[in-house]
Amino acid sequence: MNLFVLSWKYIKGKPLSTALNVLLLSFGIGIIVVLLLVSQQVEEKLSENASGIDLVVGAKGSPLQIILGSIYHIDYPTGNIPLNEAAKLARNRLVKNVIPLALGDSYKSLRIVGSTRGFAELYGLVLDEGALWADDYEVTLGAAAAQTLSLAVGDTFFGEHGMADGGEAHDAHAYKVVGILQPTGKVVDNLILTSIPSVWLMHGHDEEEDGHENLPDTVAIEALGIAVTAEQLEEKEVTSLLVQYRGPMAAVQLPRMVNTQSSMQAASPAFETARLFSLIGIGVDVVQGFAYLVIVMAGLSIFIALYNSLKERQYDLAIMRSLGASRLRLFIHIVMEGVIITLLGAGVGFVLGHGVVEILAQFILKGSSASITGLVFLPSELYILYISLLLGVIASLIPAINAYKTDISEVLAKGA
Amino acid sequence: MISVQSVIYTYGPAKDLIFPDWEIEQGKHSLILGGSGCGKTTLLHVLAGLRTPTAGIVKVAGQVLSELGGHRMDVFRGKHIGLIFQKPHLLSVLTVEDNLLLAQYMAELPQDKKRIRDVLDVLNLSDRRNAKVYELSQGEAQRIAIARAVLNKPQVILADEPTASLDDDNSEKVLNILEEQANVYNATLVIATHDQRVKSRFPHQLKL
Repeated sequence: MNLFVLSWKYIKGKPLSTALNVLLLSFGIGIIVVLLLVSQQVEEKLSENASGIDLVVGAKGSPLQIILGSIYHIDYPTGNIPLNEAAKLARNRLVKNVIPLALGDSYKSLRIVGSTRGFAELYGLVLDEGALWADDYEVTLGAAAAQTLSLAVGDTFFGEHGMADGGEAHDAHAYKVVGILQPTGKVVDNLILTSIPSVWLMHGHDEEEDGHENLPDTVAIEALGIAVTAEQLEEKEVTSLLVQYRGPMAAVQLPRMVNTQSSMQAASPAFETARLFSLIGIGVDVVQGFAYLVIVMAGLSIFIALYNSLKERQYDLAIMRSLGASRLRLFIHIVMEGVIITLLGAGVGFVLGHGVVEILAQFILKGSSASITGLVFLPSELYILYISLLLGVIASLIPAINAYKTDISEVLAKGA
Repeated sequence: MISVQSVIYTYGPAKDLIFPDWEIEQGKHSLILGGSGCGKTTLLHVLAGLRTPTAGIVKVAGQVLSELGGHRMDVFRGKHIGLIFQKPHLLSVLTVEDNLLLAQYMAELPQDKKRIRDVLDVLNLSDRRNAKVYELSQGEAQRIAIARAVLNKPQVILADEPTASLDDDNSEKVLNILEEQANVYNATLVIATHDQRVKSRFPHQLKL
C-alpha cells in the first residue's frame, strides 16, 4: 500500500468517469501530437529538400509554382528558359554554382529529371548499384522509383510526355537503367534521373544522328556542367536552374537582377516555403486552438469529478487522518489522482496521435514524396507531457486543498 | 495512561466545554457517559489529538499531546491510538486486507501481511481477507474496524458509540471483542457512549 496504489484504487473505483476524462484529454492531446508530427516532418522534408539551394530560376510565372515544380516535384513547371540566358546567369560573379534541370517527361507518373552531375553532388546521392547516368538515354533511378516501377539495372522503358500518367509515349528511343540510388528520404527517391541532352533528344524533332558528341564544335559551358554546340546554345531550352550564391550580397542583388534584366523569374525556396506555411498555418492554428479547448475542457471535467467525489470521500479522508496520515499526505493523494488521470490521458493521446499519423503515412500518403512516419518522437512532445502534468496538478489543486483543510474531528463527529 | 487536567474546549464565543480532571491507569477500561451534546465525542477527539483543547494538559501514553504538532501528532495517533466509530467507515474502494495495510502504511509502520492474517484469524474473519467492503455484513464490517484499530498494537483504544447502531446480540459481541482485544494487547479501552447496555460492564466512568 502506498499513495500511488491508493489513488489508483480510487480511480479504478469510478471507471466510467475516469474513461470519459481520459478519452477527452487523449482526444485533445492526440490532435496536438498529429499536428506536431505532421507539420514538423513536412517542414523538415521541405527544408531538407531545399538545402543547398539558395534560389531557383525558371520561366516567368508564380514563384511558388517554380519552387514546387523544381525542388519538390509536385507542381508543373512554369515553362522553359533559353539555354543562352541560363548560361549567362551561370557565369555571373554572384553565382557560385548552377544546376540546370530539364523537366517535362515522366514514366508511370514518376518524373524524369534531366540534369548534370552537379545534381548528384547537391543531394549527396550514393549509388546502391550500377552507375550514374552518363551517355544519352541512360537513367539512374531513385530508390523508391526503382521499387515502384520494379525496374533493375539493364531494364529499358519508354518515357511519356507530360507529368501525369497516360501521356504520349516517346517510343523512338528507350531509356536504359544504368544505376539505382540508395534511399535518401528526399524527393529524389521518387525521381528518374538522366542527362539534359537525353531529354532534348527525346523531344528532338530533327532526329539528328546521336546528339552532340559527333559534332566538332562542341563547347563546354563549365558553369552549367554541360557541353553543347553553338547552335544548341541558341536553340535549346532548360526548365529551371538551381542556384547557389557566392556571397551574402547575391541574396540582395541576384533575384532583382534576374527578375528585371532577363525573361526569367527568380524564386527563393526559403521565402516561398515560409509563405506556403503561413497559408497552411491559419488552418493549423484553428485546429490547434480547438485541441487546446478540448484539453481545457478535459481539465475542467477532471476537476469537477474530483471535487464531487471529495464530498463522498470526506469520511475516507478523515479515517486516513485518524490512522496517522498527515494533511500533506492527503493533499498529495488527491493531486496524484489528478495527475494519474492526466498522464493516462496523455499516454493514450500519444498512442492515438502517433497511430493516426502512422496509419496516414502507411495508407494515404504511401508512395508520395512527402514520406512521413508516426514512429518518431519529437522533443517538443515532452512539453505536452509537462503541460498535461501541470493540468493534472491544476485540476486537482482545489480539491486537494479542500482535502488538506478537512476538519476531521467534525466529519467524524457528524458521521457518528 | 491517560490524564486530563483542567481541559477547556471552546466551540464558539461563550460556548466553553469544561472537562473535569480525569486519570485512567493502564488497562483500566473506562467509559465516558452523558447525553448527546454534552461533549463526549469532543473529549474523545481531544484524547485522540483530533482536536486541540483551548486550555489544559492532555497526556496519553506518557506523551503530552500539546507537545506534538501537525505530522508528529498524526503519526503518534497512528501508532499508539486505535479509533473506533459508530459506523465502521472502511474505505469501500479497498479490500479488507488493503484497508488494514492502509492502517500500517499511514502509521508509517512496516506493512506486515502476516500480522494482518493473525488479527483476522483471532476475529474469525480470515476468510474475508480479500473480500470487498460491500460484500461484508454489518457485523463483519464492525469487526474489521476493530481489527484495524488494534492492528498496530495501540496503547489506547478510543471507541465512540461503538454499539449505538447494533442490536443487543451484536452489541454484546462487539463489546466482548473490544474488551478481549484490549486485554490481549494490554491496551486501555475508553468508550464514549450513552448506551445503557454498556454502562454495567465497566465500573470506571466519567459522567459529563
